[in-house]
Amino acid sequence: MKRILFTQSRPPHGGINAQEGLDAILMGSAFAECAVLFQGDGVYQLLKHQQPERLGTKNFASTFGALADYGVDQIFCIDEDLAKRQLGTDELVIPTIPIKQNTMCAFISAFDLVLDF
Amino acid sequence: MILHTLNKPPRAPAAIACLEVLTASSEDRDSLLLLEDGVYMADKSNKELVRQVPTKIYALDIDIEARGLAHRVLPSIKVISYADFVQLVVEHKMTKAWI
Amino acid sequence: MKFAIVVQGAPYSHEASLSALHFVKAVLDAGHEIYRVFFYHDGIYNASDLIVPPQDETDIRAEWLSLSETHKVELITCIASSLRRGLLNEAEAERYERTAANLNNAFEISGLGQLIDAGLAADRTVTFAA
Repeated sequence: MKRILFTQSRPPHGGINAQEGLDAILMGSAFAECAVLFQGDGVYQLLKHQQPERLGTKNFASTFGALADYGVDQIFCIDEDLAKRQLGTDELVIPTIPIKQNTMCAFISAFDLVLDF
Repeated sequence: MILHTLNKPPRAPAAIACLEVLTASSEDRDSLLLLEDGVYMADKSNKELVRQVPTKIYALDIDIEARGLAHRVLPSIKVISYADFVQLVVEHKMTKAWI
Repeated sequence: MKFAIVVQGAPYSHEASLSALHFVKAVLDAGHEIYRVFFYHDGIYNASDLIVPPQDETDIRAEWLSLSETHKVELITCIASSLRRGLLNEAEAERYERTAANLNNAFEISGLGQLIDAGLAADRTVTFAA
Protein backbone atom coordinates (compact mmCIF):
# COMPACT_ATOMS: atom_id res chain seq x y z
CA MET A 1 0.00 0.00 0.00
CA LYS A 2 1.27 3.47 -0.84
CA ARG A 3 2.38 5.75 1.95
CA ILE A 4 1.33 9.39 1.98
CA LEU A 5 2.98 12.08 4.10
CA PHE A 6 0.83 15.10 4.89
CA THR A 7 2.68 18.20 6.05
CA GLN A 8 0.90 20.82 8.10
CA SER A 9 2.77 24.13 8.26
CA ARG A 10 0.21 26.68 9.38
CA PRO A 11 -0.95 27.65 12.87
CA PRO A 12 -4.66 27.14 13.60
CA HIS A 13 -7.52 29.67 13.62
CA GLY A 14 -5.82 32.48 11.67
CA GLY A 15 -7.19 30.86 8.52
CA ILE A 16 -9.14 27.76 7.53
CA ASN A 17 -6.25 26.03 5.74
CA ALA A 18 -5.00 24.15 8.80
CA GLN A 19 -8.45 22.69 9.39
CA GLU A 20 -8.89 21.82 5.72
CA GLY A 21 -5.50 20.11 5.85
CA LEU A 22 -6.83 17.85 8.59
CA ASP A 23 -9.88 17.03 6.41
CA ALA A 24 -7.49 15.87 3.69
CA ILE A 25 -5.61 13.67 6.18
CA LEU A 26 -8.82 12.00 7.33
CA MET A 27 -9.83 11.34 3.71
CA GLY A 28 -6.36 10.05 2.92
CA SER A 29 -6.62 7.47 5.68
CA ALA A 30 -9.39 5.73 3.73
CA PHE A 31 -7.11 5.19 0.74
CA ALA A 32 -3.58 4.67 1.96
CA GLU A 33 -1.21 4.46 4.88
CA CYS A 34 -0.83 8.05 6.11
CA ALA A 35 1.58 9.91 8.33
CA VAL A 36 1.54 13.56 9.34
CA LEU A 37 4.42 15.96 9.89
CA PHE A 38 3.58 19.14 11.77
CA GLN A 39 6.33 21.55 10.78
CA GLY A 40 7.14 25.13 11.74
CA ASP A 41 4.14 26.95 13.18
CA GLY A 42 2.06 23.90 12.26
CA VAL A 43 2.95 22.44 15.67
CA TYR A 44 0.63 25.02 17.24
CA GLN A 45 -2.30 23.05 15.80
CA LEU A 46 -1.51 20.43 18.43
CA LEU A 47 -1.32 22.70 21.45
CA LYS A 48 -3.53 21.64 24.36
CA HIS A 49 -6.19 23.89 25.89
CA GLN A 50 -7.31 25.62 22.71
CA GLN A 51 -10.66 27.33 23.29
CA PRO A 52 -11.87 28.85 20.02
CA GLU A 53 -15.56 28.89 21.00
CA ARG A 54 -15.81 32.59 21.71
CA LEU A 55 -13.73 33.39 18.64
CA GLY A 56 -16.07 31.39 16.44
CA THR A 57 -13.69 29.00 14.70
CA LYS A 58 -13.91 25.24 14.99
CA ASN A 59 -12.07 23.41 17.74
CA PHE A 60 -10.64 21.00 15.19
CA ALA A 61 -7.75 20.12 17.52
CA SER A 62 -10.25 17.95 19.36
CA THR A 63 -10.38 15.77 16.22
CA PHE A 64 -6.69 14.92 16.42
CA GLY A 65 -7.48 12.40 19.13
CA ALA A 66 -9.54 10.48 16.53
CA LEU A 67 -6.65 10.17 14.06
CA ALA A 68 -5.59 6.89 15.62
CA ASP A 69 -9.12 5.52 15.06
CA TYR A 70 -8.63 6.35 11.37
CA GLY A 71 -5.39 4.38 11.38
CA VAL A 72 -3.21 7.49 11.37
CA ASP A 73 -0.86 6.96 14.27
CA GLN A 74 2.40 8.15 12.78
CA ILE A 75 2.43 11.78 13.87
CA PHE A 76 5.71 13.66 13.68
CA CYS A 77 7.05 17.06 14.54
CA ILE A 78 10.52 18.54 14.40
CA ASP A 79 12.66 18.71 17.51
CA GLU A 80 14.11 22.10 16.62
CA ASP A 81 10.63 23.57 15.92
CA LEU A 82 9.49 22.55 19.40
CA ALA A 83 12.66 23.92 21.00
CA LYS A 84 12.36 27.29 19.24
CA ARG A 85 8.82 27.59 20.50
CA GLN A 86 9.74 26.30 23.98
CA LEU A 87 7.22 23.50 23.67
CA GLY A 88 7.40 20.03 25.15
CA THR A 89 5.61 17.04 23.60
CA ASP A 90 3.63 16.82 26.85
CA GLU A 91 1.95 20.10 25.89
CA LEU A 92 0.50 18.59 22.72
CA VAL A 93 -2.91 16.94 22.48
CA ILE A 94 -1.66 13.67 20.97
CA PRO A 95 1.57 11.67 21.16
CA THR A 96 4.04 12.87 18.55
CA ILE A 97 7.41 11.58 17.49
CA PRO A 98 9.97 14.39 17.30
CA ILE A 99 12.48 14.01 14.50
CA LYS A 100 15.71 15.92 14.08
CA GLN A 101 15.83 18.60 11.40
CA ASN A 102 18.91 16.96 9.88
CA THR A 103 16.89 13.84 9.07
CA MET A 104 13.96 15.64 7.48
CA CYS A 105 14.73 15.22 3.80
CA ALA A 106 15.54 11.52 4.18
CA PHE A 107 12.35 11.17 6.23
CA ILE A 108 10.18 12.78 3.54
CA SER A 109 11.72 10.89 0.63
CA ALA A 110 10.85 7.55 2.24
CA PHE A 111 7.19 8.19 1.39
CA ASP A 112 5.51 7.68 -1.99
CA LEU A 113 3.67 10.99 -1.98
CA VAL A 114 3.82 14.23 0.01
CA LEU A 115 0.81 16.57 0.23
CA ASP A 116 1.54 19.99 1.71
CA PHE A 117 -0.94 22.16 3.61
CA MET B 1 15.11 12.60 -4.04
CA ILE B 2 12.96 15.64 -3.61
CA LEU B 3 12.29 18.71 -5.71
CA HIS B 4 11.60 21.44 -3.15
CA THR B 5 9.55 24.38 -4.42
CA LEU B 6 9.63 27.75 -2.69
CA ASN B 7 7.32 30.63 -3.64
CA LYS B 8 7.95 33.03 -0.75
CA PRO B 9 10.62 35.74 -0.45
CA PRO B 10 13.75 35.10 1.65
CA ARG B 11 12.55 36.49 4.97
CA ALA B 12 9.16 34.74 5.01
CA PRO B 13 8.81 31.89 7.53
CA ALA B 14 8.42 29.31 4.76
CA ALA B 15 11.68 30.45 3.15
CA ILE B 16 13.59 30.50 6.42
CA ALA B 17 12.33 27.01 7.27
CA CYS B 18 13.11 25.71 3.79
CA LEU B 19 16.69 26.98 3.84
CA GLU B 20 17.28 25.69 7.37
CA VAL B 21 16.04 22.23 6.50
CA LEU B 22 17.92 22.03 3.21
CA THR B 23 21.12 23.18 4.86
CA ALA B 24 20.67 20.63 7.65
CA SER B 25 19.37 17.62 5.77
CA SER B 26 19.21 17.77 2.00
CA GLU B 27 20.50 14.77 0.13
CA ASP B 28 22.69 14.74 -2.94
CA ARG B 29 19.96 14.51 -5.48
CA ASP B 30 17.54 16.98 -3.88
CA SER B 31 16.96 20.26 -5.72
CA LEU B 32 15.37 23.62 -4.92
CA LEU B 33 13.19 25.48 -7.40
CA LEU B 34 12.43 29.14 -6.73
CA LEU B 35 9.21 30.37 -8.28
CA GLU B 36 6.81 33.30 -7.86
CA ASP B 37 8.05 35.52 -5.01
CA GLY B 38 10.57 32.81 -4.18
CA VAL B 39 12.81 34.08 -6.99
CA TYR B 40 13.89 37.00 -4.80
CA MET B 41 16.17 34.46 -3.10
CA ALA B 42 18.16 34.43 -6.36
CA ASP B 43 19.01 38.11 -5.97
CA LYS B 44 22.72 38.90 -5.55
CA SER B 45 22.03 40.41 -2.10
CA ASN B 46 21.33 36.87 -0.82
CA LYS B 47 24.72 35.46 -1.75
CA GLU B 48 25.59 34.36 1.79
CA LEU B 49 22.18 32.77 2.41
CA VAL B 50 22.33 30.84 -0.84
CA ARG B 51 25.95 29.77 -0.38
CA GLN B 52 24.97 27.63 2.62
CA VAL B 53 22.43 25.57 0.68
CA PRO B 54 24.03 22.39 -0.60
CA THR B 55 21.47 21.58 -3.29
CA LYS B 56 21.29 22.76 -6.88
CA ILE B 57 19.06 25.82 -7.02
CA TYR B 58 16.90 26.82 -9.97
CA ALA B 59 14.74 29.90 -10.59
CA LEU B 60 11.85 30.24 -13.03
CA ASP B 61 12.63 32.60 -15.90
CA ILE B 62 9.09 34.00 -16.19
CA ASP B 63 9.13 35.06 -12.54
CA ILE B 64 12.67 36.52 -12.71
CA GLU B 65 11.66 38.52 -15.79
CA ALA B 66 8.41 39.75 -14.27
CA ARG B 67 10.27 41.13 -11.27
CA GLY B 68 13.11 42.80 -13.20
CA LEU B 69 15.75 40.60 -11.56
CA ALA B 70 17.48 39.17 -14.63
CA HIS B 71 20.63 41.28 -14.28
CA ARG B 72 20.86 40.60 -10.52
CA VAL B 73 20.64 36.78 -10.41
CA LEU B 74 23.46 34.99 -8.60
CA PRO B 75 25.66 33.02 -11.03
CA SER B 76 25.25 29.88 -8.90
CA ILE B 77 21.52 29.79 -9.62
CA LYS B 78 20.28 28.36 -12.90
CA VAL B 79 17.40 30.25 -14.52
CA ILE B 80 15.06 27.77 -16.21
CA SER B 81 11.86 27.61 -18.23
CA TYR B 82 8.57 25.90 -17.40
CA ALA B 83 9.58 23.12 -19.78
CA ASP B 84 12.67 22.59 -17.60
CA PHE B 85 10.45 22.72 -14.48
CA VAL B 86 8.39 19.85 -15.89
CA GLN B 87 11.57 17.89 -16.56
CA LEU B 88 12.78 18.52 -12.98
CA VAL B 89 9.52 17.15 -11.62
CA VAL B 90 9.90 14.07 -13.80
CA GLU B 91 13.46 13.50 -12.59
CA HIS B 92 12.70 13.79 -8.86
CA LYS B 93 10.74 11.16 -6.95
CA MET B 94 8.46 13.77 -5.39
CA THR B 95 7.84 17.50 -5.29
CA LYS B 96 7.42 19.27 -1.94
CA ALA B 97 5.89 22.74 -1.71
CA TRP B 98 7.17 24.88 1.18
CA ILE B 99 4.18 26.60 2.75
CA MET C 1 3.93 10.44 -17.04
CA LYS C 2 0.64 11.32 -15.40
CA PHE C 3 0.54 14.52 -13.35
CA ALA C 4 -1.78 15.52 -10.53
CA ILE C 5 -1.89 19.27 -9.89
CA VAL C 6 -3.17 20.90 -6.69
CA VAL C 7 -4.09 24.60 -6.81
CA GLN C 8 -4.48 26.30 -3.44
CA GLY C 9 -4.61 29.99 -4.40
CA ALA C 10 -7.43 32.21 -5.66
CA PRO C 11 -7.08 33.71 -9.15
CA TYR C 12 -5.50 37.18 -9.22
CA SER C 13 -5.17 37.35 -5.42
CA HIS C 14 -2.21 35.04 -5.68
CA GLU C 15 0.11 33.86 -8.43
CA ALA C 16 -0.64 30.17 -7.77
CA SER C 17 -3.32 29.95 -10.49
CA LEU C 18 -1.09 31.50 -13.15
CA SER C 19 1.83 29.26 -12.21
CA ALA C 20 -0.43 26.22 -12.36
CA LEU C 21 -1.71 27.26 -15.81
CA HIS C 22 1.84 27.71 -17.13
CA PHE C 23 2.85 24.36 -15.65
CA VAL C 24 -0.15 22.46 -17.01
CA LYS C 25 0.53 23.80 -20.51
CA ALA C 26 4.20 22.85 -20.24
CA VAL C 27 3.24 19.33 -19.11
CA LEU C 28 0.96 18.91 -22.13
CA ASP C 29 3.53 20.42 -24.52
CA ALA C 30 6.06 17.85 -23.27
CA GLY C 31 3.67 15.07 -24.21
CA HIS C 32 2.71 14.07 -20.66
CA GLU C 33 -0.79 13.67 -19.31
CA ILE C 34 -2.68 15.74 -16.74
CA TYR C 35 -4.57 13.20 -14.62
CA ARG C 36 -6.49 15.86 -12.70
CA VAL C 37 -6.25 19.45 -11.47
CA PHE C 38 -7.70 19.64 -7.95
CA PHE C 39 -8.62 23.00 -6.47
CA TYR C 40 -8.48 23.31 -2.69
CA HIS C 41 -8.54 26.09 -0.07
CA ASP C 42 -8.95 29.41 -1.92
CA GLY C 43 -8.06 27.64 -5.16
CA ILE C 44 -11.76 26.87 -5.59
CA TYR C 45 -12.36 30.48 -6.62
CA ASN C 46 -10.82 29.56 -9.99
CA ALA C 47 -14.08 27.72 -10.66
CA SER C 48 -16.33 30.75 -10.41
CA ASP C 49 -18.22 31.47 -13.60
CA LEU C 50 -18.60 35.08 -12.53
CA ILE C 51 -14.96 36.10 -12.96
CA VAL C 52 -14.70 39.28 -15.07
CA PRO C 53 -11.11 40.46 -15.42
CA PRO C 54 -10.21 43.82 -17.00
CA GLN C 55 -9.72 43.48 -20.75
CA ASP C 56 -5.99 44.05 -20.58
CA GLU C 57 -5.40 41.30 -17.99
CA THR C 58 -5.04 37.54 -18.36
CA ASP C 59 -8.48 35.93 -18.44
CA ILE C 60 -7.87 33.07 -16.00
CA ARG C 61 -11.45 31.83 -16.38
CA ALA C 62 -11.00 31.56 -20.14
CA GLU C 63 -7.63 29.82 -19.69
CA TRP C 64 -9.11 27.02 -17.59
CA LEU C 65 -12.08 26.73 -19.99
CA SER C 66 -9.72 26.39 -22.92
CA LEU C 67 -7.65 23.67 -21.22
CA SER C 68 -10.80 21.79 -20.36
CA GLU C 69 -12.28 22.05 -23.86
CA THR C 70 -9.16 21.62 -25.97
CA HIS C 71 -7.19 19.13 -23.90
CA LYS C 72 -9.98 17.55 -21.83
CA VAL C 73 -8.16 18.49 -18.62
CA GLU C 74 -10.24 17.42 -15.62
CA LEU C 75 -10.87 20.30 -13.18
CA ILE C 76 -12.26 19.37 -9.78
CA THR C 77 -13.02 21.60 -6.81
CA CYS C 78 -13.46 20.29 -3.27
CA ILE C 79 -17.09 20.45 -2.18
CA ALA C 80 -16.42 21.46 1.43
CA SER C 81 -13.99 24.23 0.41
CA SER C 82 -16.40 25.37 -2.29
CA LEU C 83 -19.52 25.55 -0.15
CA ARG C 84 -17.70 27.35 2.64
CA ARG C 85 -16.55 30.02 0.17
CA GLY C 86 -19.84 30.38 -1.71
CA LEU C 87 -19.13 28.42 -4.86
CA LEU C 88 -22.14 26.30 -5.75
CA ASN C 89 -23.42 24.22 -8.63
CA GLU C 90 -27.17 24.01 -9.36
CA ALA C 91 -27.73 21.03 -7.08
CA GLU C 92 -26.01 22.62 -4.10
CA ALA C 93 -27.72 25.99 -4.68
CA GLU C 94 -31.06 24.21 -4.58
CA ARG C 95 -30.13 22.04 -1.60
CA TYR C 96 -29.06 25.00 0.49
CA GLU C 97 -31.69 27.40 -0.88
CA ARG C 98 -29.26 29.93 -2.25
CA THR C 99 -30.35 32.42 -4.90
CA ALA C 100 -27.91 31.34 -7.58
CA ALA C 101 -25.39 28.79 -8.75
CA ASN C 102 -22.03 30.13 -9.91
CA LEU C 103 -19.92 27.15 -10.91
CA ASN C 104 -18.14 27.35 -14.25
CA ASN C 105 -19.30 24.22 -16.06
CA ALA C 106 -15.79 23.29 -17.07
CA PHE C 107 -15.31 22.39 -13.42
CA GLU C 108 -16.90 19.72 -11.28
CA ILE C 109 -17.53 19.93 -7.54
CA SER C 110 -16.53 16.71 -5.82
CA GLY C 111 -15.07 15.24 -2.66
CA LEU C 112 -11.58 15.23 -1.20
CA GLY C 113 -11.31 11.62 -2.27
CA GLN C 114 -10.57 12.98 -5.76
CA LEU C 115 -7.47 14.70 -4.40
CA ILE C 116 -6.19 11.56 -2.74
CA ASP C 117 -7.06 9.42 -5.76
CA ALA C 118 -5.18 11.83 -8.03
CA GLY C 119 -2.12 11.80 -5.79
CA LEU C 120 -2.06 8.02 -5.72
CA ALA C 121 -2.88 7.44 -9.40
CA ALA C 122 -0.50 10.01 -10.86
CA ASP C 123 3.23 9.52 -11.25
CA ARG C 124 3.92 13.05 -10.02
CA THR C 125 1.94 15.51 -7.88
CA VAL C 126 2.73 19.23 -7.82
CA THR C 127 1.13 21.72 -5.41
CA PHE C 128 0.77 25.42 -6.20
CA ALA C 129 0.24 26.99 -2.79
CA ALA C 130 -0.82 30.50 -1.83
